[in-house]
Amino acid sequence: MAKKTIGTEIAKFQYFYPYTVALVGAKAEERTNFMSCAWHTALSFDPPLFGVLIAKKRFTHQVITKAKEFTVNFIRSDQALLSAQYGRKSGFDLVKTEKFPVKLIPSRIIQSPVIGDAYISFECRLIEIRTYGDHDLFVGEVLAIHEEENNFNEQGVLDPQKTLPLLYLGSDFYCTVDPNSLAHVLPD
Amino acid sequence: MENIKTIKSKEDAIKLLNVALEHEWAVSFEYLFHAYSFPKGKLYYPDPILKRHQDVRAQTIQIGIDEMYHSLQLGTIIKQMGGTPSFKTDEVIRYPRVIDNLERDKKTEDLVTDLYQSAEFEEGAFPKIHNMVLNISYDEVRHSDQFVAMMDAMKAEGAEDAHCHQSDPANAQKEEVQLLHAIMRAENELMHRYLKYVILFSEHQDLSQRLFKNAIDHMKNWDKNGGILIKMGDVIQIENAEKNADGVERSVSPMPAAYPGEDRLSALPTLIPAEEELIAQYEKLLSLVTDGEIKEQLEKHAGLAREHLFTQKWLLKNAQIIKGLS
Repeated sequence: MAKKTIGTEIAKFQYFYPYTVALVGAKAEERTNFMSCAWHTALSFDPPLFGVLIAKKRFTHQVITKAKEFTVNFIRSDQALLSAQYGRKSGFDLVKTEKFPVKLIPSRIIQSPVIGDAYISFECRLIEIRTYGDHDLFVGEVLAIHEEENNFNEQGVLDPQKTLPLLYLGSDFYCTVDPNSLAHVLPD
Repeated sequence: MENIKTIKSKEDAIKLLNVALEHEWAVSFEYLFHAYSFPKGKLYYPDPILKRHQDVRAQTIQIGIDEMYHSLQLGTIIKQMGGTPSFKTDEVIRYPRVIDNLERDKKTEDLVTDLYQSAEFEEGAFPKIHNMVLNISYDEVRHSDQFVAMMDAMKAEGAEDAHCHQSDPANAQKEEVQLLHAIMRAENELMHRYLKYVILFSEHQDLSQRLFKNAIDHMKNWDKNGGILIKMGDVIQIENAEKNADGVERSVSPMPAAYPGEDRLSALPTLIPAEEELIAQYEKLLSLVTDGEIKEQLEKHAGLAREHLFTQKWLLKNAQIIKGLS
């Protein structure tokens, strides 16, 4: 086993990556805004709850708080530039959907749009905002899922031969999965 | 709706109670939507149980409240049995004609009566629950008879085509109307959220009763706001509803299926910002409406929300200083 170092001064806390990247956003008072988000997680199967973590200083924080809903749109490895644009530019300074155009599709249930170029999108109703340190956890009840055809198998598992998800490594680095590494592993 | 036929184990009983809870939770909501869309003081019927002429709108509200009480009974028992109450919702449909909504409500009553009355309890299994289920079922029988009487009276009086209130398209541009819709959604959400906590904290009568009072306050405000909307030429909106060419509105997601918090220390903090936001919405609306009856009513609602805020802040502070309280 390789030698391990133990540090107690935690400077840039990002050792947990890679995470998939989603564009998260909403429409409130005629303004639509999305941001790249790697800090997100499923929270419950029944009811289906999904959480996204957003810093208070973000413009998206204001928009989702006002809209009381949001969409989560997962993007592919060839959309890393889009992630960089939506992650490093702020809605306080520009209208990102105009400067970096994406195809906006009306949602099935909520008022905020989903992103047509995403391979999977969730429509969420905001249930709760809870503060953890410098981020707020926005908990959404998933009301509808927009799924691009043929990307998922019958069990709802992403097929990496068809879609390579964009993975974030921190500090503006990205990668994706090796589709040949796919394995169905059972304990017995 | 899933039918639970045979009740042998505690798990069967909890499952039956949860199916019933989901149903009662959803229908109380739908009945109130229907009632708040009906004309007030225009449609009367001879009530077969009350033996008096009743307003269709008022009695439909009363039936909705009965269902809410059923939800509370069911949720409390589920909690006492160690189960997890389910607050799933169902679709809400609103037809343009009053009578079509009553027909749907009547069918709903018959469906749930069947759920309750067809459940077979193994001899000696859960006698009190069996008794409760049967007791509730006869409320549903009464409701069904009342809905039938409403429809019969409307047909006899040639009022089959009486319509629900409709929204004036010009209201889409009126800030005060849109704000009142947002307040209606918040009042409804808070009412249901408080009811969930009433169930979750039902083992502590003091806390659950306090929260129950707040739930009822929010329900009263919801009710009064429904009337104010009609005075403004509008009608209660069904969240996330789609309207078809025949004017039938349907929403598969009319209200949240989950509310934050599972114990005092996680639930109580969420109520403070929710009440604060509601107060801010009322204050904004009050700045837009002119003096008069509507303003006076809205001021009362804002006052109640301020009372809740005061209470919630102290409930939370008091809970936080006691070690071991969760």
